[in-house]
Amino acid sequence: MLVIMVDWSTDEPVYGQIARQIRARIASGELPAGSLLPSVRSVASDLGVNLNTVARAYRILEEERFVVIRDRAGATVAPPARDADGAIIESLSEELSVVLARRRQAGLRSVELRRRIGGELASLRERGEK
Amino acid sequence: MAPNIFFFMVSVEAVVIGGLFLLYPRISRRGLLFGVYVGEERWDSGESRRIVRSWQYGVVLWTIVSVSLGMALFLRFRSPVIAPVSPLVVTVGCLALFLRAYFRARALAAPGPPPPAVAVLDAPEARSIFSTLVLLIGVLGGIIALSYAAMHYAELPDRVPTHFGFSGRPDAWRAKSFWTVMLLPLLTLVMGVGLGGMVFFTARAKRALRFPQTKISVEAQVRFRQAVARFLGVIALLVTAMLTLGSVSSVRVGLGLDEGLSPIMMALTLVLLVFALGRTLYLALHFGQGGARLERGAGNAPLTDGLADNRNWVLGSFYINRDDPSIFVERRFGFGYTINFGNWKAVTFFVGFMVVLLALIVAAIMKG
Repeated sequence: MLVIMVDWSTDEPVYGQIARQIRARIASGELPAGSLLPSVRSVASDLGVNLNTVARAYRILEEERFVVIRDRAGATVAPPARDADGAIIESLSEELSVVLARRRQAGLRSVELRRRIGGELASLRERGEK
Repeated sequence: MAPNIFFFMVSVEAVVIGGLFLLYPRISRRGLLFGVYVGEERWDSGESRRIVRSWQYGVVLWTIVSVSLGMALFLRFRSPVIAPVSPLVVTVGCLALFLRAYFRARALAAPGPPPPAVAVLDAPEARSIFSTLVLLIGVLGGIIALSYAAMHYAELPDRVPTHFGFSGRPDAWRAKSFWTVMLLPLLTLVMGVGLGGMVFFTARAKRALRFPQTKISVEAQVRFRQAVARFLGVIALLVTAMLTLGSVSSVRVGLGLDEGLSPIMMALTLVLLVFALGRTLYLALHFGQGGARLERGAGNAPLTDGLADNRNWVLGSFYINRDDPSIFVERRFGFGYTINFGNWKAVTFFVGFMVVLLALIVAAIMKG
């Protein structure tokens, strides 16, 4: 069963915790493209948090193109875009270099880094073809 | 009814109330002690057992005292006014005992931040056509009762029956007025909407989940929620049938078309009483509160969400969470569901229903 958790003892805002965990589920393939996310009301009721908090998390995921929100059908996990959006890719390149730099700083060697990136890309490709 | 039989029934009622209070800690969810989330391990501790034992002795003793008191007063004064004494005394006493147990449980509760809240991403959401249907039938029954009375208002004679004896024959008549004719049909509508709404919200009540054994707890509590919604649904349908029949029937008696209420009414009342009590006991013992007895496989997996968060509960009984959109939540102590007192929709529904119902009862007493 796929769950997300809200930890009341951290400084991270609740909407951030919700968005981060759903994003991680999508990245890991546990929530493949096309899966229906529970309604804002259902998540808010389960967690005992405000509707706006969950709606804000969903909007962030929509802006990041992870989900598509349709008023009646609810939110579904979005498939990868067909045409590359140059502006978004440009804004993400700094994020990528930071992640790579942090891994290096943590002591990961270039060879190992390359191997891992290759592995992640392969699994993304595999899921995309299914 | 003979005063002796009436008094006997009231004494039985007092014993039933005491018995239910005795039962509640035994059917509660693992981790919940007298409305306090103390954590699964402390729930199993010696101190926890001592609190429960002292509660059990207290309730048994107090029930005996209340029934004896009621009996002594009845033998002395022989007045029906004495009747409510024992149920009232037993309830008040048990509430005091509850408060004592509640504060002891609070002292036992694990310190530190509340446990995390958990939401399920891949469980089907509550959809219950049955509960929507019950609500619609409740409204429909009210409309039928109201329109039947309104349609025949002009034809009714100057005096209409306002009370019926046990045989179903009218034993009190009053001058025709809006209230004497429309009270029962109005009550039919109010009860139809109120009970139907309860079924509707129960079927969509907040989930109480455990983590990591989430699947077991989701399934247990979904089964419990369905069973309670079905149970309340049958009660709502029976009450609607009874009141609709009663409304139409009393207009027909007023018109001289029938001599008394249909005997089906009496049969339905009996079925309703037996079903309500018997089924409550069965559900409580079979499922445990919230499906506690079905989620035993989850072992010591901690409870999450609203039920585990002591910050949202006042005196272990009132759930007040302004952010939570849930209308109904599971009781922490007792059986079934309660409302989220922090949600204005829930409060409006609950207070509205109570106020209208009380107003109708007051009107019934004052107008005959």
